[in-house]
Amino acid sequence: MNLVEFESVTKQYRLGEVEVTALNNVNFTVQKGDFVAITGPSGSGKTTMLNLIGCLDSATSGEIRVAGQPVSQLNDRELDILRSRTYGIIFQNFNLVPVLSALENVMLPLYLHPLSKAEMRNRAQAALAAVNLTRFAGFRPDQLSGGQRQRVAVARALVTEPKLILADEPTASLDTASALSLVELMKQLNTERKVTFVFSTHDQRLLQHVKRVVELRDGRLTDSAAGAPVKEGATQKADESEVA
Amino acid sequence: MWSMAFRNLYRDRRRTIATVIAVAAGLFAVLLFLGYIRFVESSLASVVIYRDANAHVQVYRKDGPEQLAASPAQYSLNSEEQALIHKISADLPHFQRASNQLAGVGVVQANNESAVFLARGIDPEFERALQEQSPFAATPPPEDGLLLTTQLQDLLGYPQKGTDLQLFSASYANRINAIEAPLLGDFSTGIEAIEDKGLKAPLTLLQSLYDTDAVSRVVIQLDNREHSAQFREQLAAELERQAPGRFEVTTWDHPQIGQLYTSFMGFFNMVFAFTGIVVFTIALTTIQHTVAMNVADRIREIGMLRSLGFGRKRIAGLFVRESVLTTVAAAVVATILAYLTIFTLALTGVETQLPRISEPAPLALQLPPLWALAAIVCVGAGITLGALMTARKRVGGEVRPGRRSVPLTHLLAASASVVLAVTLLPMQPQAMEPQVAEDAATPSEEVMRQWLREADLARGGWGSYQWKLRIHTKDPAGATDTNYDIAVRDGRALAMTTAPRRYRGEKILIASRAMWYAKPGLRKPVSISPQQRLVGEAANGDIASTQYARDYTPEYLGTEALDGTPCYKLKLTAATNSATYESIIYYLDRDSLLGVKAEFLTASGMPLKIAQFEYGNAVLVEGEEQPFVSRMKIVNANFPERYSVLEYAQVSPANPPESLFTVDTLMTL
Repeated sequence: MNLVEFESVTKQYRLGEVEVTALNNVNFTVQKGDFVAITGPSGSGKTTMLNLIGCLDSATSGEIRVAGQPVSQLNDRELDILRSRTYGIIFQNFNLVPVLSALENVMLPLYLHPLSKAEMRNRAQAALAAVNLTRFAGFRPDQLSGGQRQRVAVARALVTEPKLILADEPTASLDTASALSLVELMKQLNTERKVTFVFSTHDQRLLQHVKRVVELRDGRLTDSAAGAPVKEGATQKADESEVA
Repeated sequence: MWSMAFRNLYRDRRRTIATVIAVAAGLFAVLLFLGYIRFVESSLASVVIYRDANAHVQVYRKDGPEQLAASPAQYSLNSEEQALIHKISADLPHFQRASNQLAGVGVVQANNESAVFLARGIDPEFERALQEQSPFAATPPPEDGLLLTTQLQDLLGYPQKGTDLQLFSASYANRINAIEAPLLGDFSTGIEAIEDKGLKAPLTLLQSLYDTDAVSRVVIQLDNREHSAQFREQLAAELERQAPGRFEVTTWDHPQIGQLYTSFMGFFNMVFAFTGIVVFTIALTTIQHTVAMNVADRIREIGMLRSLGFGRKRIAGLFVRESVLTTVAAAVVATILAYLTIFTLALTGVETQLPRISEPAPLALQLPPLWALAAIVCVGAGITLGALMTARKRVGGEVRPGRRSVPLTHLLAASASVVLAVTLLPMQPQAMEPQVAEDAATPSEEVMRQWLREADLARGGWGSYQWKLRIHTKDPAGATDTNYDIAVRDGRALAMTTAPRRYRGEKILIASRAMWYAKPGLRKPVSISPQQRLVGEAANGDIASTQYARDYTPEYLGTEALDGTPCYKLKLTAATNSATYESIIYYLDRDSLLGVKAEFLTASGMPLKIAQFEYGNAVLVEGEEQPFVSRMKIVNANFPERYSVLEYAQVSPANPPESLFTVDTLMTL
């Protein structure tokens, strides 16, 4: 079963009097264990697509299924539960809570799970260990470097052991060393723990390490493996030759 | 989450501090005002219970609280009833002591000055025990003389202590009576509105003035005012069992008893509610504003939390927790400041003027911790609710088209228009009404004065006469008959009581527009002011004769038929301070010019009494037979069951000596 499945998904926004099509009739799937990059120029619809995958937004038309469940049939509360159980999310600007320590930031998603405080702490410490930040557990975000903050964000995404981690431009705010370190970490988690990653990026340093690249142009999608364009979804035929 | 909320308060310290200060200021105001309200409440209660000597529970005749002032004799308690009340109340729990009290009005005179008094006849021993528990200092009650307020003494020209004062009033039998008693000291009623009329006397002294052994009420002191309602119920039930429908039991906060307390507490509670709402609104708005700013500042963080799976309610809860913590901090600050202020005020001995209390009282704000806590919890709960609504709305993030708001200026303009319309519209038809043309046949004032002189002649107003007068007075308390010998000479009159026997020797002299009362036992005559002439259903001024042509200015009101008799209708307005009534509507028979009916009006134009005249007597004046009044019935306009019938008999021309009409010889007659 596909972890995520887009079927003829279109997303339109209204900006004043103008209607903008961010995604146009997209078909797309994510399998368990995938390590997928969504790339494309600015405004191509990368963030919109991640938002739709993460059930942070709803499609104008088409169907999105997560673990076989059509998300359009879920109410707000069910969507909240789905997000807390299925996803881990990494943001470009880390989005750590500035008044909480690294450990408390990592513990944050666990408040939505029926765990004791001790269990939450143990799991958060384990997640921090997985990103090599054990000794920074008590540090607040403003006491950490950019790379360290993003690692904390990765740990926060990992701590609930989600089926899928979504990352929006995860290396955009990092220097090269930190970016490469983060890429290695993500690959390692993907390989060793079979954590599925879908992230948006136009960072070539990251693209060189991914198994599959999905390129978006003007809201339409091109799928490739290891950078080569691949066909995914019947409606993408028109774009294939262009991508090739 | 509480920990996170607490730490979030440090994100924008300036905003948090500003919010805490705003809410704390509001709460501080509420707490201080609450302390002040409680201080006023307990002070007013003390005045009503102790200093005003109402005690905790009062027993009256049924409807007594409302009717005593108008009908003291009918609604007073006789000896048997007093004994029953004392016996039953003494057996009930929380009883401490009981006492009889008599209230009354009259006129007090000294140094040729007179003033109206409102007297309370009390048992000095009971009042002394009661006042020992009053937080307000009070003068010891009089043992055998009078206490007057300083304002009343001022009206009397500050008579010296020990001087005999004359008290003059109508007895319970509706007769004039007067007594003399020494001025022993001064006191304060504690009520500004009656401070210039306060008089306190021993019960027996006041009973002798009103010529009665009845009392107005029995008052009962309890061990604690909290037991008043319960005691009242028990006493009322037992009295009702033993004497159904005869008594009315009240507590100190009954509107008729504790009028000062109920009216001011009603007012203060309203002001407190209004202030509370204003302060609460300011505090709530501040908190809502802070929540809205916090949400706006942390949109990205809210998005992150939503993406982690936090629901809107849970995120809104975080902001509510922050508001609760802010409010708690503000409450702590406000409470500390409030108690510090109360403590400082107590230490410095600041005094305040309580409403309608004549002297200043130490400002001792009363803020029991439980009351403070209750106020804080109420305000805090409201603020939390407001913060919750704001947070949920803001965190929801959906921008909905708001309902079109009505600007305040539009509201004000609309309100003003409505008020103007309501005010002006009814005026328009009035303005359009044509003015009624004045009666072209209005007689001159000279002509009307001549009419009045003719009418006065038939009522003994001019010339020299003597007659015997019998007054039969009837009211719900009973009926009395009094006989007088009347002598009249050129507008002056002397009325001497001939029956009943116990009143024989009482005299009323009307001379030079003044009036005096004398009786055996008084050292000198009591001067009766024009207003005092109204005492009794038959005004003392009505006893002798009338000189309307001299004392009133006539105004022609047209003609009107009374029982088929065409009459001139005149409005007489007092032309002199010595006139008995402010104004009179007088009906004169058009043919005979005899007064047929008179409506005596108060200063505000309300009917006071209505008199009707019959002219069955005749006297020979200069060989010519003149009609003379034989019967006059005066009915109370407000209580028709109260009336007097004056019967004139043996009317004859006479030549009484001048010495009969001088005040100097009045005591020797």
